[in-house]
Amino acid sequence: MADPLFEQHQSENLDGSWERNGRSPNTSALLGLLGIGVLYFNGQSFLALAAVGLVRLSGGDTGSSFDSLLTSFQSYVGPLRIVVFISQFALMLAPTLILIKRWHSSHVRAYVRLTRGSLTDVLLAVLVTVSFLPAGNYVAEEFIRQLRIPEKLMQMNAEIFTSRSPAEFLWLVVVVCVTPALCEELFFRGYIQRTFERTMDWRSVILVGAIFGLFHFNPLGLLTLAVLGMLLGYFFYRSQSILPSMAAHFTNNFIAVAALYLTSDGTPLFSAGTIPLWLVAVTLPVGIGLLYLYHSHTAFRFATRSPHETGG
Amino acid sequence: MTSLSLAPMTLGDIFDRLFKLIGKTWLRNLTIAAIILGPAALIMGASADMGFSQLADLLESEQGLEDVTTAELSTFLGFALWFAIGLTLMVIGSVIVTVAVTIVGCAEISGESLSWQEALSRTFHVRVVKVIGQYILEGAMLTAIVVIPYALLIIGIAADSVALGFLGGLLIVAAILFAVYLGISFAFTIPAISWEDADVIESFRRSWRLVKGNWWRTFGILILMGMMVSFAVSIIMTPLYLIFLWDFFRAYFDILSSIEEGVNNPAVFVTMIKSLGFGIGILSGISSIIQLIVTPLYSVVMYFDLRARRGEFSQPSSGVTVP
Repeated sequence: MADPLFEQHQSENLDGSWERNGRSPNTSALLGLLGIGVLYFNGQSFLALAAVGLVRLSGGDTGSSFDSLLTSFQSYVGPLRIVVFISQFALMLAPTLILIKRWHSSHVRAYVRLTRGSLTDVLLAVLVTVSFLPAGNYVAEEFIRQLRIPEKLMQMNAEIFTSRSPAEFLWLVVVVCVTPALCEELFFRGYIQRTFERTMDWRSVILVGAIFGLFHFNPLGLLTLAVLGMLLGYFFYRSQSILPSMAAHFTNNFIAVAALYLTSDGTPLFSAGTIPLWLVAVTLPVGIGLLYLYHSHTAFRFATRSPHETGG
Repeated sequence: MTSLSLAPMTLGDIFDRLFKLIGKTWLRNLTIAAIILGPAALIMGASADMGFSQLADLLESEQGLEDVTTAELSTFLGFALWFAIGLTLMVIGSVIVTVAVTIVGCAEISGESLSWQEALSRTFHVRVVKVIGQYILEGAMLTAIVVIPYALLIIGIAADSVALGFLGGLLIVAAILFAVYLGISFAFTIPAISWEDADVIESFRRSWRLVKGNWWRTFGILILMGMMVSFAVSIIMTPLYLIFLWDFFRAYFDILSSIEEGVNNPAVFVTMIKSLGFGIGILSGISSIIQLIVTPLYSVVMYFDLRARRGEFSQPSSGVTVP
């Protein structure tokens, strides 16, 4: 009987040093998660500090009241967006691709499943994400209400996603929508989940979804982010392609950015206010129905995936 | 040379072996840590809770902090004493858990699977006393190295002597570097005591010899592992902080709101203080438990790697056998 590990190495071109030495895929995923996590968060903090320092040197001011803090924070937002953009590509995406190439496979695109997927998969993934959005936001808003966080503080928090002109909106789409859809998806789904999946199969969706939530260091959004992470992981797992999860991630962030686009009179483009419960009651069952549709639509592809992908 | 067959490890091998070791031993190590540190964390949490509540009641009462009665002061000091007892138990407990987890890890790499009861039994059999002695000796040594130039700097400032102050400043930098050098060189005293049953002084010699010639490598790997463990702990602890300190954060945001509205509401401040105690104790306990079920294990893997580099084990005939 043929060695399943040897077969997997042959069919997936697992020719990296980690694979050649017969080390555990789980260790690689954990090591990559923690190593890139340390690099990304420390590097980003350092760059953010440098950016804020430069702004302060060039005459930026801080104040003691919320209003003056908000005004001074607005002067940091531009450099901070550049920091996010640089750190996502240089400290998250680049190490991910290097690790995959060196440790696992010279065929990086195939490893992360950057393959041409079905358009229906992508559309359904986007629709599911949109349908789940009100429920996610409702939960996050409930946490904020329960914790009685001052509105001004939330305003400051939202400032990094707020745009006031079409040019700023486009730049924000690049930084907040395109960049995470590429970098975070290739890191969390393409590398971490893909590597855990080899031994854990469907359980990797839950594990990496929870890790995705924790990685954002936002306890108020933990539940929503973890569910979003699991949803994105499920799209990736079922379709055997990274494109649906990338499209869904882009859509999720795009809606947030679009909602915070301020028109010339200073009001948000979509003045949604708080999410009403009836909207959640309507969209959630629709989302579940669409998810079932996605599940059915991907059934054939999932069933006919190569034997080594089953995790057994 | 022992009968164990082990080749020197590459960085990838070290991590591979470490994660497998964590996977194999985490339940036993968690049991050990929970049994030893759980009561200490509860005592700390309860005493901190009572202490903060007492402080809040004093702030709330009309007499304020100026007219504290002897009875109130003694009650407050009683809680402080309980907190100190909890803290002491936590420190001693951490030493016990470090030794026990080290024994479990060393046994696992040597092909022996110890239960948590056996590990604790070996720990209490003299080893823990030696480790406490080692901690005290190493701590005193490293403190002295830094304190002496610091004292020189203070004397220099007090005597208005620029030269003495400058010399003190330079010596502090040199002392910190020297302390780091010694800290890394003595990083394997605990496995030496726990696994080889070495004496305190012998454990220093043993660790020094193991690290000699591999200092930079050991330094780099220990720093990397330390950073990764801290990151993992902070990821896990962030939501727990919100859960255990929910009332504290709520009161904190209420204070922010009242400041913004220009309203002075001391009752919210009292609520904030009252809600701080128990959460802090429990959180420090959980954080210590998570740290202690992982940290000693990377010292164990490095310890075996350094021993393999010194040719203390026979080389495996083909490949590396990972436990």
